[in-house]
Amino acid sequence: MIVLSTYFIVPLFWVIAASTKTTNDIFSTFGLWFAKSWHLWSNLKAVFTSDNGIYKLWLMNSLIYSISGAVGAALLCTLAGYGFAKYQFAGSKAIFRTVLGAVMIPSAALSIPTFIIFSKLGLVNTRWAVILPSLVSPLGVYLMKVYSDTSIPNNMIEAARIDGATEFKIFRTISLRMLMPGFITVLLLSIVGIWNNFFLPLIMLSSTNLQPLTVGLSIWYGRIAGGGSGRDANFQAVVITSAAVSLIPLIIAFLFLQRYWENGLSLGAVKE
Amino acid sequence: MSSMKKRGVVLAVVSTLAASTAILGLSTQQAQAAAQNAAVTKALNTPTTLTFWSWLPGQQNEVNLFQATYPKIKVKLVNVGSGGTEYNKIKAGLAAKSGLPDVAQVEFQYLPTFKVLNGLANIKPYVASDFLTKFPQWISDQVSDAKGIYAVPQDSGPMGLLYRSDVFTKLGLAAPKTWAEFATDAAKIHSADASQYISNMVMDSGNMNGLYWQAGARPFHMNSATSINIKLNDSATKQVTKFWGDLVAAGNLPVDPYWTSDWNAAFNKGKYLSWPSASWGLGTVTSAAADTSGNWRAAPLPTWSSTPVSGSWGGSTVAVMSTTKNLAAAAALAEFVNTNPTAAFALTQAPTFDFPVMKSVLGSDGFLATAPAFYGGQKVYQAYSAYNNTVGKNYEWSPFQDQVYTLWTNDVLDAILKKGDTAAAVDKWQADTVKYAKDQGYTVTTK
Amino acid sequence: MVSMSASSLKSTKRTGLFFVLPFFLIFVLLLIVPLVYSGFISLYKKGLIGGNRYVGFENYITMIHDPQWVSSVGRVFLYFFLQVPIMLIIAVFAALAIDSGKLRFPKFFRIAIFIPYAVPAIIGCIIWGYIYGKNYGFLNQLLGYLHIHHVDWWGNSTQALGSISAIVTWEFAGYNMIILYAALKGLSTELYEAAAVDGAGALKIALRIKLPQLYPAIFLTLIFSIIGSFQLFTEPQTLNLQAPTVLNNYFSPNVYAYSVAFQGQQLNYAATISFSLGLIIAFFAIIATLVSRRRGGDSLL
Repeated sequence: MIVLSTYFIVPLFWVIAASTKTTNDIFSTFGLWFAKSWHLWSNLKAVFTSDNGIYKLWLMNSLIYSISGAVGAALLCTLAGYGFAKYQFAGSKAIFRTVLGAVMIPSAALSIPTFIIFSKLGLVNTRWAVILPSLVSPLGVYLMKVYSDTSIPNNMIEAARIDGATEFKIFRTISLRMLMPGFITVLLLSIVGIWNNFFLPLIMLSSTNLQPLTVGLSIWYGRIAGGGSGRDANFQAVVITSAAVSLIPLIIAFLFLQRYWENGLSLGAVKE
Repeated sequence: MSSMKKRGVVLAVVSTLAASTAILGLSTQQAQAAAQNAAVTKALNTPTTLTFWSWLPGQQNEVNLFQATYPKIKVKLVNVGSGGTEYNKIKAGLAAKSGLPDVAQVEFQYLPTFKVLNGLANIKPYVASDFLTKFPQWISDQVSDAKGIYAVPQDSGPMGLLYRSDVFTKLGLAAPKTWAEFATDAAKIHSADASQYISNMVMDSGNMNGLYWQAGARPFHMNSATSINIKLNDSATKQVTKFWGDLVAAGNLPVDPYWTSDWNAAFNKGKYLSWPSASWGLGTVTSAAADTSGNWRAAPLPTWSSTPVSGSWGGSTVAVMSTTKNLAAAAALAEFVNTNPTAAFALTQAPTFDFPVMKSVLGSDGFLATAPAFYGGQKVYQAYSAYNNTVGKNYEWSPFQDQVYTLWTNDVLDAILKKGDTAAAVDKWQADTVKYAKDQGYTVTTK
Repeated sequence: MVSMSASSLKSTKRTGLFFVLPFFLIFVLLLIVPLVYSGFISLYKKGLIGGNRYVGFENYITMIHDPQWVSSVGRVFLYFFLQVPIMLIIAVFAALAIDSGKLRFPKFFRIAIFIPYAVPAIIGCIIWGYIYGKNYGFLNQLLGYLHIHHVDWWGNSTQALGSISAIVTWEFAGYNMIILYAALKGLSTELYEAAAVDGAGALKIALRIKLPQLYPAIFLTLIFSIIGSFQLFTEPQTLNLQAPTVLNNYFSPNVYAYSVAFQGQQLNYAATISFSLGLIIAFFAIIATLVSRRRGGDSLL
C-alpha cells in the first residue's frame, strides 16, 4: 500500500517543490527536494501579476461557473428526482429511462454541435455558454431519485396531504429537509465536474477574462510549449507555480467534505 | 464639428475640380488623403477600448507607446497562445461571429487562410497613402491586392545559421558553407563527443518549410479564387527531405520535439551546436541558453550551390478583423505598432528580436549597429540583412497552410523518424494535400 | 390508507410532471437537441469553396475508410483494455486493503489516493509532462541516478498510451476506489465475523466474501470507465508538443474531431466523428449493463 500511495503522492510533492525554484533549477536539481535558492514568493508574485493579473480572473471564473452551475444543477436534479420518485404520472417511466440512457452520451459528442447551435444564437463567448450545459446532470437525477425513494417515507407525505397542504408546500417544508444530504452530494459532484471541465469552455470561450482556470492554464502552458517567436523560456516557473496554486481550492474542499462524498457515491453503488 | 466643416470644404473643392487634368487629379488624391486621415483622427479622439491578440514578447512596449500618443484609446493586449492556438480561436470566432479581437497578430503564411474566410478587414482607406511603398515589394505583395490592404507587415524571418563558434573552433571547424559540409561536420562533431550534435533534427514544419523555400520549392499558386496549383513533391523538396532523413538515419542528429522545456535545456547544455533558424531565433536562443552567452554567432545558411540564397520562416503581420466595430481606430493601432519609427525600431531589440520589414528601419544605422553581448558583440542584424537580401522570391502560401503543416508532420516527419523512404513520404504529403483541397471544393492542378 | 378522489389523485400525479419539467426542458434543449443536430449535420457537407449540400451517409463512408480515424479508434480500444483493468484492479485492491482493518492509517491512504481526482486533468498534464521529460524530466532524472539509460516516454504510439494510462489512472483510481469502498461499507459484517471465527484470514475474507459482493459496484465503475476512456482528449491534446508525431492530431477520436473541426474547417465531418463515437460508447456501455444484470442479478441502470 505504501508503494501504491507513493505513486499517487509523488507528483503532487514534485509540483510543490518545483514551484519554489527558478526555471533553470527545475531542470538541474533533484525533483523532490528544494534548490539552494528559494523562489516561492517571487514565483507566486509572478503568477498573480502576469498578464495584468489574469490569473485572479480565471480563478474567479472557475468559482462562478462551478458554484452557479452546481447550484442550478443540484436544484434541477433534486426537483426532478423527487418528481420521478414520488409521482407516477403518464410517461414518467419512459422519461426516466431516457434520462438514464443519457448518462451514456459522451459530453464530447455534444460540445461541437452545441457550439454551432450557440453560435447561431449568439451565446458563444458568454458565461451562459458554459453554465447552461453544466445544468444537465442525468447522473444527478438518478442519485436524487434513489435518495428520494429511500429517505422520504411515503406516509409522511400522505399525512401532509390529508392536512390539505399543496404538493409544493410538502416538498418545501418536509421533503427538502430530508433530501439535503443528497442535494449536497450532487452539488459537490457538480462543482468538481464543472471546475475540472476543459473541453467545453475551451471551445466556447475565446475572451480570456471569461475563461476558467483550466483553459487559462492551458494557454500559459502553450506559451512555454508552443512554437515560434513568442516563447518565453523563463515563464516555466510561473506555469508550474500556477498549477500548484490551482490545486489548493479543490483540495481544501475535498478534505473538509469527504463525508458527503462517500455518502453520495455509496448511493449509486449499493442496491437500493 | 470644425473638422467636419473642413472636410466639407475640401470635398467641395474636390468636386469642382473633378473634371480636370492629371495635375488636378493629384490634388484629388491629396484631398482623399486628408479625408481619410480625418476619419482616423476622429476615431483616435473618441474614447475606445481595443482588444489586440498577440504573442510577440515585448509587444506591450509598442502598445504603451500607442496609448501614450493617443490617450483616449485603451488597448487590451492579450496573449491567447501562439500560432495555431490563436488561429483556431480566430477560426472559431469567425464561425460564431463573436469573441474576436479588433486586431490580431497573423503570420504571413496564414493571411490567405483568413482572407478566404473573410476574416480580414480592408484597411486601405485608413492607412497612410504611401503605406505599401514602405516595404519591399515581396512583403507588400503578401498583404495587399488590387482592391485593398489586409494587414500591416510586422517582421519577417530571413534564415541563417546560429552556431556555437567556440566549440566549432575547438574542433577545427568553420561554419559550414554548403549542406554537404554540414553533413560531414555533423559526423565529426558527434564522433568527437557523443553528447553533442551539430543540431537537432528539424522537427518543426515551418522550419523545414523555410529550408524547402531556400532550395527553390514553390508549392502553391492560386490559378484563380477557386483553383489552386499544388506541387509539394518537386525535386527540391525531395532533396532537402532526403538530406535530413539521411542524417537522422546515420544517428548524427537527435530527434527532440521543438519548443519543450527539454529542448530549451538542450540548447543551454550544449547538446545542439547550431540551429538553422529565422532571425527571431536570436531571441529564442538568448532566452533558452543563458549559460552559453557569448559563444553563439550568426552565419549564412549552408547552401546547395555556390549561389547565396536563403529562405524565410514565419514573419508576422498585424491584421484588423473584419468583425471589428472600431475599424478606423483598429487600423490606426495596427499601423502604429509596426510603422511608427520608435515602435518599429523597438521591435527589433530585446526581448522581441523581430527582423524589420520597413525599408527605413532596415537601413537605419541604429538597427545595423545592434551587437548583443550574447552573440559576442557580433553585428547580428548586419549579418541577417545580408541574408534577407538573398531570400528566394515569389513564394506563395496556400489558404489552408496549417492543414498543410499538419499533413507534413504526419506524413513526412513521421517517415523520417521511422527511417523510411523520404521520397514516398513527400509524394504522400502531396497526395493528402491535393485530396484535402479537393474536399474543400477547390479545383486542383499539379504542374 | 386514506383514499383520495380520482381527480385529485390525477392532479397530484400531474404535479410530478411539474417537478420534472424544469430539468427535462433543459435536458432536451442541451442534450437531445445537440445530439440530433449532430446527427443532422453529419449528413451534410460544406467546403471553403461552395456551400452546404446534402450528402447522405457519404461522410460516414469516408470516415470508415479514413486510415486516421481507424487508427484513432483502434488506439482508444487498446487504451481501454490497457488502462481500465489496471486502474480497477488498483481501486479494488486499495478499497479492500483499507477496509480490511489491518492497515495502519487507513484515512491517510484513502485521502492520498483520492486527492488526484481533485486535480483538473490539464494540471495533471502539466505536472506529468515535466515528469516525463525526455532528457531533464523527473523520472529520467531518477533513472540517471541509478545509471539506467533514459527512457523516451513518448517513444512510440503504444509507449505513449502507457504513459498516458499512468496519468489517467493516477487521476481516477481514487474516484473508483471510493465508490468501491463505500459499497464495502454497506455490506453486513456478520459474514466476516463468522468467517473469522472459523479461522479465515483477512485476505481470504477479502477475496472470498467481500469481492463477490462488490461485483455490482465494480460494474458501475466499469461503465463509468467505458464512457470516460473512449472520450480520451485532454491528455494527448495538451501534451501534443512533447511528441508531435506520436501524440498527433488523430491520437484519439476526440482529438481527431477537434482537429478536423477547428483546424481543418470541416465541421460536418467532425460531427460525423463525434456522433459515431457516441454510438460506439453507448453500444458498449449498454452491453456492459446487460452483462452486469445477468451476473449480479441486478444493477442500477
